[in-house]
Amino acid sequence: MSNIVELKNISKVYLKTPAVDNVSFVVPEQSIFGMLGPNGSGKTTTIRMITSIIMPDSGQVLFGNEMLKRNHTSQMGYMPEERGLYKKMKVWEQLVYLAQLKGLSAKDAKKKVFEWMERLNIKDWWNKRVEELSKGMGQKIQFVSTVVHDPKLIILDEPFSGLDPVNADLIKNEIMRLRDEGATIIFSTHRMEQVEEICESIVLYNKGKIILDGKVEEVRKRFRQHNFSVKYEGSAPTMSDFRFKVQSTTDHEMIVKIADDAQPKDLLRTLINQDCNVIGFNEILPSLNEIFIQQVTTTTHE
Amino acid sequence: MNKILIIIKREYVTRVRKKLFIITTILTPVGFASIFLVQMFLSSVSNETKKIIVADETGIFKSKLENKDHLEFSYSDIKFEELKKQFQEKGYSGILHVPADFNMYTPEGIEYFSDEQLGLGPQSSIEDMLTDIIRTDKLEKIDISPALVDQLSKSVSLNTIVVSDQGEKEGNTGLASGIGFIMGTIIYIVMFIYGGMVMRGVLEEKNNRIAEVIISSVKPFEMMMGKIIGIAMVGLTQFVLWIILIAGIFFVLGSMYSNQIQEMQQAQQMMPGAQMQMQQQMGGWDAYGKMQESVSTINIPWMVFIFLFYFLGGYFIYASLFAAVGAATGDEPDTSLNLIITIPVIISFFIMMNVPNEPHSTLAVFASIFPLTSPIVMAGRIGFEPPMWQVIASMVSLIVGFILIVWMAAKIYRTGILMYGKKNSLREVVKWLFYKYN
Repeated sequence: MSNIVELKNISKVYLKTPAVDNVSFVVPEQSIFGMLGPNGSGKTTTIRMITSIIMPDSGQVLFGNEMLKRNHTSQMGYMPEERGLYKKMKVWEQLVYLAQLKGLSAKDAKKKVFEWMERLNIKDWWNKRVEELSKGMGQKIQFVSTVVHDPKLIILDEPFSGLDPVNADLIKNEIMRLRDEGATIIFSTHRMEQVEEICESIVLYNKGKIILDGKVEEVRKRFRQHNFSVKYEGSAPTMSDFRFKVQSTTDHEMIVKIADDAQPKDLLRTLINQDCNVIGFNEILPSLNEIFIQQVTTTTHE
Repeated sequence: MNKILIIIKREYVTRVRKKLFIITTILTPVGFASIFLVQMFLSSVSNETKKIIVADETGIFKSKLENKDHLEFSYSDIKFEELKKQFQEKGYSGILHVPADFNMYTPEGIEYFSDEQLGLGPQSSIEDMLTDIIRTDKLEKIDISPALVDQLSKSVSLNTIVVSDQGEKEGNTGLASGIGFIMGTIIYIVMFIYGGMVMRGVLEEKNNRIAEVIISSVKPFEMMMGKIIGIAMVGLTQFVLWIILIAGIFFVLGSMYSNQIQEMQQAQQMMPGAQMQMQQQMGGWDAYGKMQESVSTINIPWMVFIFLFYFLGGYFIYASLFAAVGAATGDEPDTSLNLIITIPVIISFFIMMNVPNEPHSTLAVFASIFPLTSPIVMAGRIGFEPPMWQVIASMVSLIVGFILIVWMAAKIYRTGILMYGKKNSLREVVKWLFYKYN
């Protein structure tokens, strides 16, 4: 699979403080890519360089296989973290205007806007002013404005903030659908559970640098603690072997840490030898949230 | 290029559709017209002639007071005390009482009795007449004839002639300064009203955070110029509508007025008393005719060109400065940055006000060439026909200044529009000028 975006050693300095420091990564086509990191770690600056709002001081940005040019932005849709719409404009006029700025003709823009409003159940508001809408409704309108021109690359900065669970789910399904139809989504957030759910690969930013990257499963395996959950019926097994450390025991579940020189099958064998009625056995991988906090705090204290 | 047109269209349409725009566009000419109508009404009301009876116990003024300015005098020998009781019944509006001990060398004691205030106009015309009569009387007493007095009191008026390559022509200082002042004032107002509109628009986009969405589709320069041009068109639309509406209103009023004149001409044939009034009216039209004559000495296409040139040049320079300030400030407008823009505008307005006194002073010449002041000052000076080299120098420097300022403003705009949450000092803003983007 080819890459839609490739960053090669990009750096950007703002008033002597490096906002982005020698960052490189690739975003594969037709994937959902997560950019994670605390506030002010350089995510937004990177996004602005991809959308050519600002230019890197050094390094290269490739879009498709070409050097990034301004007219590539018509194939991108960007929803900034700070939402922005004209408060006094009618919903449909606003969406048509923003779509036209992305290069759609007035006629196409209108058609697409109404299609999308129907899809997201916001058709009834088409003639309302934005200031009359709730925050969540505004969010959905902003989402439409980001995707209405069928961009190849969709960049969403915290797309679910302010949405209720029902609407968050609606948007999540739209993101999946757009990916299935061929779009690539870059997703910037610090909400880890969402990343785990929908992203295929991630980069983790801290202080303008990437401190971690890869596929979500891969990353979690890289930080595995060799903890296993054992679920059983009847009486609890005893762990006399020094290679197996019981971390915690709750109602018919035991978390066991296996030492480096042992294998999961050794633990299973011990359990079976004890005639334990095992009904569940699986590895507990650290959540991205744990990895995130651990990595950010260790790199910050270095 | 296409995108800048879309932006211009939005900026234009959203503003022109606003209720406030429609209301001010219609009400301003209506307001002017109603002020004009009220004045016409008031002057027709005061057209009522005041009949005044003169109780002159000295005989100095007997039959000497002229019937004019809607005042009509009659003379009576009835005792003043008696008259005081009867004048209202007899249909007079007041008594002019000259007491017997009145001395023309210490002219005090003349009184006007009435049941209502005389009004400033009639009072001063009566005073003038009395003064005149006394003076003539006194001069006669020292053997100076009225004819000689007349000759002595002739006043001089200057005909100003401008010498140029095309020969000599009569200048018209009054009209020139009037037109220049009006043009300069309009440009001054435009800079603040529409420049302020640009700044508010930029602030709205910045505070709304929509700037970031739009800048991911179009260049910041297109975004800024789209807004400035769109608002310029809003302004031009408003001016054109005002001119049409005002012309329409005056056309209607004018036809009403000419009907009145016809009626009066008919009335004149029937009763000779109306003649006096008629002459007064015609006097007004005479002045109007003279004004038209001097308007014809002015090169109207040249004036219109000058006006549009400085109107647009001045607007673009200040609108881009206002846009830059809007982008550099944020949620709360920064007064110190604002002042940097408003001070040159106000200074140029004051220089323009002094132009009629000294149209070719060094300060006026400099200010009419310097691009931050020239839109207002040159518009004010143009009626005084500055040398051609000054006009050309002023225009060239306005164009150069325009390009330079728009370039600077675009740089500040580009950096400022995406900076949130902090106030930027002037020093920082100056640094933005040297940022490299590409």
